[in-house]
Amino acid sequence: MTHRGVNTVELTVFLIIFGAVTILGFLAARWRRAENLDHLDEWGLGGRNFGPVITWFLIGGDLYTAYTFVAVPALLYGAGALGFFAVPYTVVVYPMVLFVALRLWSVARARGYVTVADFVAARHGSPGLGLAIALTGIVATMPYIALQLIGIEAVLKTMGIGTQRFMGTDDWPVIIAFLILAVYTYRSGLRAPALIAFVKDALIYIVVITAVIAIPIKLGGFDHIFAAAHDKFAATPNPNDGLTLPHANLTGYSTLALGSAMALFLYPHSVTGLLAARSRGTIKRNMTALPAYSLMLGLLALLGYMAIAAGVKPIVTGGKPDPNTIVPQLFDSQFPEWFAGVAFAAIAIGALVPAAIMSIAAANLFSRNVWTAYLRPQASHAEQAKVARLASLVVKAGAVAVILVLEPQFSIDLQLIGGVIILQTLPSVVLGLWTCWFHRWALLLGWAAGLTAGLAMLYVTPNPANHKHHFGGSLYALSKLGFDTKNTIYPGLLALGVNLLVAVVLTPVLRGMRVAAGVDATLASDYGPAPVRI
Amino acid sequence: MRRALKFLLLVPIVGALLPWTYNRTDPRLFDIPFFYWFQLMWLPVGVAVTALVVGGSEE
Repeated sequence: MTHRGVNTVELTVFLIIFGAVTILGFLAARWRRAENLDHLDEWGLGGRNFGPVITWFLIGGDLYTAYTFVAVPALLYGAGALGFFAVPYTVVVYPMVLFVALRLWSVARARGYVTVADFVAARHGSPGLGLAIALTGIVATMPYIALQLIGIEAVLKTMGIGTQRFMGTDDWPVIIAFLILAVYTYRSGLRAPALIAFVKDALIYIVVITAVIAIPIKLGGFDHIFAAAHDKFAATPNPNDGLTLPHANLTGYSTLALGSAMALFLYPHSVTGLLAARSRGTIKRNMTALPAYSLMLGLLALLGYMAIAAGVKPIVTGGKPDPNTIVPQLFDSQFPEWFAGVAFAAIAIGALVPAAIMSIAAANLFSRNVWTAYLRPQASHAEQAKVARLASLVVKAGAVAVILVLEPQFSIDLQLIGGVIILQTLPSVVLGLWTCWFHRWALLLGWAAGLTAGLAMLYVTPNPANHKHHFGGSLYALSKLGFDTKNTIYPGLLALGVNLLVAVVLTPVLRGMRVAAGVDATLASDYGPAPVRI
Repeated sequence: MRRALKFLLLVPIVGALLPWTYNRTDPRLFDIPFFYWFQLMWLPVGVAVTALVVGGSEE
């Protein structure tokens, strides 16, 4: 299937919705009266004034990305039960981060921190540690943005676009989409994705609810759908697929869900969403309301099995089947054309919202913790905002370049690495919210040790299903450490263990050697509710 | 009492992270295998517990 015709009905509906959203993105600069975008609090955090409803749409649109919507069902389609880890992952994340989020928000508000690295630098008295945290965040975010492009491309391929070459590339539609995104993010800052998130989520909810009701009815019920999936997995030689988990992957499943949940709110884009909230009450309400998205994700995951029952096949480009086209292909085959167009627009806009927030978050890190901390300490608020706006353009251009130059598989590998490395910021950030017992150098060396261990474990993990020798997946075989077991584990957690061990052991050692410790610039009262001022 | 309420948050966290307890297909609910509906069931539990803890805190 190298030359599919363009579906004009789907494309027309898609373009109308996409155009409307673009206009919204530009209008967002005027939304909620930003008097002056020349301040990082305004451009980079939307004025720190989003209430519970906007925050719900913003963080929901931020965490549940287009890539999630295409990749999770694709994982169930290919591997079965393992792909469902997204559900326990998003069940445990909110109870787990509730108090972390409240303390982080409070100290950031009390001290005017824009990024998590601002906090780390001040708490541990170490701009160097802040720089390490900032760079980890930027590196982990870049491939995540690139993956959003892959989400858009999956939709475009199904509509029959992106197979024609133009200006020497067949990626031109994605480049145009990102160019538009870059311009209105530059203009409107965090207000643009916040406003667009309303449209995105409304569309996504309509599509998902329709899909999980209509498609099972069309396909003869869940009984038939799960039976079809069971038959497919029974016919493959792969011992790791199936409707339930192979015994060896139980530890892996559990630790993957736990590790992913611990990593989620360390990502810069999650923190940006949190810090843009107006109050602690806003965050509390969202920690109980955000799981609505998880329910949707759980139902959406089952689309992977529906695709099996419907006999959907992934689109083949360059001789390789692209599993990410499963969901778009399912919509294409099961929905009327106009509604498929709506669904595709929902997925594409679902890519723009997180891509915008991620690029803003990475830009904030660069402006605050690289530029202002190291290059121009005297930078004014206006200059910080200007640098961040320019950096957001560079970050997006980088993501497009990654897609143009490298195989999509490379972005997926990088994102896998991203989760493992962002987890290594946990001791400095999360433990730092409760204690400054750790020595700054011990935290830095622990971070370095965790990164090294994590990368080493990912490097030696093969994937027999696609004959990859390195970076083959997120389950590390414990037998490689000499244990006599078939069990697997999420390498990020193991690396975090190494990280913590180093930090805990070296702290008393460094103190004994009288290496200068950092001075904490925060007060205990910064972490709680603000005192009532009369 | 209020402080103790916090520890309820561990219930959905631990429950959802024990695939040993739900790695099977039966009993089914609306034709959906146990593995899938049981994990989804932890979502409302998590919401209820979080709401309880948040509602029980003083500010």
